[in-house]
Amino acid sequence: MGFTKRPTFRVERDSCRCIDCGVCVRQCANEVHYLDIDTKEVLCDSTNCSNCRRCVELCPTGALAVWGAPQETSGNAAWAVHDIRAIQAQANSGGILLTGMGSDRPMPGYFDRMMLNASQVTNPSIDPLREPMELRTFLGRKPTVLQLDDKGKPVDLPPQLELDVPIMFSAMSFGSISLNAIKSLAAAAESENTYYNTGEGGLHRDLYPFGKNTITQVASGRFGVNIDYLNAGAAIEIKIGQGAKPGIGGHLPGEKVGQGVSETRMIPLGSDAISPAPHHDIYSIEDLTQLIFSLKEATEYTKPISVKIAAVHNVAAIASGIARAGADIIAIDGYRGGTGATPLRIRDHVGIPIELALAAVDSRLRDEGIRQEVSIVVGGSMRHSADVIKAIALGADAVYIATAALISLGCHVCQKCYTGKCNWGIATQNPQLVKRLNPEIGARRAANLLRAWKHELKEMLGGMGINAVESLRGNRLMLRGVGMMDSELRILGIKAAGE
Amino acid sequence: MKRIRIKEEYCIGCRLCEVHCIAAHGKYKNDLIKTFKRDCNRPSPRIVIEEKEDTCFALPCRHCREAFCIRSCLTGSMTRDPETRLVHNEVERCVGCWTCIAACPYGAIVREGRHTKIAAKCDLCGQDPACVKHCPNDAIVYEEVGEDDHYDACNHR
Amino acid sequence: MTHVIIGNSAAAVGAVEGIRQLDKESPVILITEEPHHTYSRPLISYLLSGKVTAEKMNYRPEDFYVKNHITTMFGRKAAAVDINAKAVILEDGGRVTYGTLLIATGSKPVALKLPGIDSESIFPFYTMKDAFALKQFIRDGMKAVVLGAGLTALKAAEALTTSGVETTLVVRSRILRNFLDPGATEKLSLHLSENGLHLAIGSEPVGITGENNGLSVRLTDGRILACDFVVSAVGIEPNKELIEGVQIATEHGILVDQALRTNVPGIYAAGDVAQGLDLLTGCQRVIPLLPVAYAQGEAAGRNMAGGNAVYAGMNMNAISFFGLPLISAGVIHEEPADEVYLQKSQTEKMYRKLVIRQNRVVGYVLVEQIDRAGLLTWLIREKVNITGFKATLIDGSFNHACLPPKLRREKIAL
Repeated sequence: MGFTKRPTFRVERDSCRCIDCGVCVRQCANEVHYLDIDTKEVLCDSTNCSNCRRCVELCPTGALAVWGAPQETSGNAAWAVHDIRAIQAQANSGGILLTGMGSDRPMPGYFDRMMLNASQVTNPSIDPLREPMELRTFLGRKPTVLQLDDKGKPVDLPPQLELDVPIMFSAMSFGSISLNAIKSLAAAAESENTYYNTGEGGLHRDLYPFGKNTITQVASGRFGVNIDYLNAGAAIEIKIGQGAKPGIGGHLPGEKVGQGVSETRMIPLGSDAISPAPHHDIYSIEDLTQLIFSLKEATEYTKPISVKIAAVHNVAAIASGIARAGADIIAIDGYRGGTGATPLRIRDHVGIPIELALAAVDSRLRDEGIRQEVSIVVGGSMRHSADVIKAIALGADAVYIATAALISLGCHVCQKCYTGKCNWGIATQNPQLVKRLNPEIGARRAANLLRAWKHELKEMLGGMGINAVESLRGNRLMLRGVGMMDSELRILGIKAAGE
Repeated sequence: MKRIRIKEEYCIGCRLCEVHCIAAHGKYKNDLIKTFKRDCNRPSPRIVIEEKEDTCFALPCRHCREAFCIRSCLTGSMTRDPETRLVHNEVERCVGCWTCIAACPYGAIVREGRHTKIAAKCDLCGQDPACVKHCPNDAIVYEEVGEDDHYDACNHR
Repeated sequence: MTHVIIGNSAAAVGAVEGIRQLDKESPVILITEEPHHTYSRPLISYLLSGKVTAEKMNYRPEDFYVKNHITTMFGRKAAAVDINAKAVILEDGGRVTYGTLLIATGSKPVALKLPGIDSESIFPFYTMKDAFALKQFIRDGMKAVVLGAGLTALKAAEALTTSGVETTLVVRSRILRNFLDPGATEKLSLHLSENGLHLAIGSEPVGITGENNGLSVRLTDGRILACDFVVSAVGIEPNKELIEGVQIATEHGILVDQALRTNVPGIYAAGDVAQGLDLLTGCQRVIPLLPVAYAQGEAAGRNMAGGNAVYAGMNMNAISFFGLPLISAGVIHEEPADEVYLQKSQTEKMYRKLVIRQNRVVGYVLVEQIDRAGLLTWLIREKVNITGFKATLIDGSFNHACLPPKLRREKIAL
């Protein structure tokens, strides 16, 4: 027995405005729109619509709209429609449910319940348009004691990443996203003087010129890792885990492994690229130390080494171990972190919110007196500049953004990245779809986003009477909680609003 | 001197250039809905998408420096504007003999509408080409080109 | 150096433009027996049918010669060329000395030798004057016989039919033999008949007899066609009287090389009078087509002005009859070793023939669906090797995206 697939979304065509030009037909990789041979009319079948909104955006007459399709519901609060649908789908397929992007469940977010401070009377606020405002950020191990030579330059300073804005583009591999998407981010990182991250997909030869703005990743599959790769970037990141799928590996299906991906990952054309759940050489902090120092040796101690983990229950203790293992940067990815493909249940039920993880890690490293030995970078649904500034106030040195960056490139968060049919040319390797993202436009838009957030960060800093992001870092007095329990406030290390 | 430059690698084959070209040259200037719904004899697009498998790109008149259409025109209606150097068809003198269609190496000259005996071609919309303005991916750009830029295949003749 | 041009049509205009592209200063003298400005000869049938008015016959704007600083000598017939003295001798006794000379005297209708051909009701159809004369004469409901099977004859017959004259076209073998293959002729013949033009195929006129209220044209098959007038358009030949007795080499036309030079230094020839290089065969051939005339004239003009232009012409013709467009170019009648691909509609007029020789397109004929024919012309002209995209040419889907990337980028400067 099978169930007819019912549309999740409904495409509405306003026939008074539709001119049958067929732009929607040519743009929909899901084949929702079609030209009727008999009537020469453009029609649509919503069944496969993912609400990517490509047709809506490109329709020259604004004739199209996509709505959530009305769902049959019994009004049963225990059995939501999506739960019933999931069971039906699994009864059909017998398989794991896949999804893309970060979790869309209505879990409580802590950023939204933290409010920022502003100066009134007793200390003046600062107008960033009139006075200098410093957002420059250095990531890397800081020395316990600062020693200067006779010229006043620091001695034996470990390698640092220098960012004009405390925002970097998070790891997204070539394979999970298109080369044009990566080119866009790389060029934007270059123009705004920050960094993008290769993810575990290696470094395409076209991206070597962006090396000084590149963080190269070494993950469990070790795809594309060689000495040129390690030396090409400004820093190296060991990926242990990811917020969207803590504890499990990755799987890039063979159909996405075309010539470019195959060469870049150094794997056979058309073969599945499987990232194991663990690194097979890491079963302890000591093993991690070995890998960190292998990479440092290989690159002659010229590059900071980052270790990326998913935010999970014992994150503070784990972070402490990572710091002691020799990492220069710890990247923590919250449970809302995005991905190209992940099992639905893992994404939605594993991990903890980044706000709590960040506060816990920062506090723990301070308590242990090793906070200066690592920089903390957090990611996992940084939706706007206020999330960024709250993360910094909680103790982050910088943030990683990925979903927001992709939205700037055209992503409409339809969560169908895993199908490979991204109509925006982002999460696809189909050459016809990849073409849709012009990296010149992409770079311009992603850079615009960074600049816009930079302006907002400065405004908010100025409002607090702070003229350097360094002075906000870990300054939890600038935050107050609203509607939180005492335990949450305690972990976050903030007072309740009004206190 | 500005011309339309084609960027094959970014053309997404949506054909919005064709759609807007039609409306820009129709009697309901730039009104898509009226052009497509009310004008039974609406113009032909002066720009076409060349397409095969993964390759596609928009191709308008190159305004060749050595233009076969001008040489071939039976009536003298196909001329070059001395100021802009654009190849221009004076429709009131064109009789629709289609010799220009036979001659144009780019296939960039079209029969106007359904019943008209006039050859139509890209006029760059008076220096503000509708196709470029509406290309969603900058696959055609309107940019300054030098007199000596290699711009069409006919230059060596 | 003075450039002298004899002629006032496409080749002459081409030469003016060719000279002025390179030389804005030197004096240019244009001599023509025509007493008026340059006009487009192919438009005379449009003039006859009333689709074009006299004012719109101009091939170039009224001020064309003035703007280009050309000294025009309208209504002055060149009678001879003195190559030793480098002078053109006019019929009225005048002399014009030249530094370089272009002979662009065009062609003239072949005189039909036929009993009764001297009748007053027999019209030639070659010049604007002819068209005006005919236009004045014809009345709705008249009957006409048109002799000839070429473009001029057919366009005249079409114009007469649309003007309400019941017209019969007398054709010895096949209409537009030089331009269409039998398959396309068949489609066209059907279309002409459907539009009211009568065809008398396979017969020749043997004599014309005048009666009080009309003429009778007797044909070889015994038929007698009664009519009010006859239009004779049986062909044209190069108009090279001017150089009779001069040491300029001629065959059918004046022989010129790829730079449009005759055997006499400083003297060029272009247009219908010239027998120039054929791109496809590499032989010298008279190609009496306007685009060729213009291009030859332009190349000759550039060379007269010290340039270094070469030109080889080819068959390329576009025409329509009663709204049915046809285009052909290059080799129309294939040789046994050639590959031929045909597409035709049983019910409609659509017809497409492609002739391929050694992996190159050498010719085509298109009826009704003529859009983007120039792509095929380009393949012929550039002798492009079609290996790799031949299938798209055969099925008709060919476009620039089918070309190999390197060739495509070179052509379009992507």
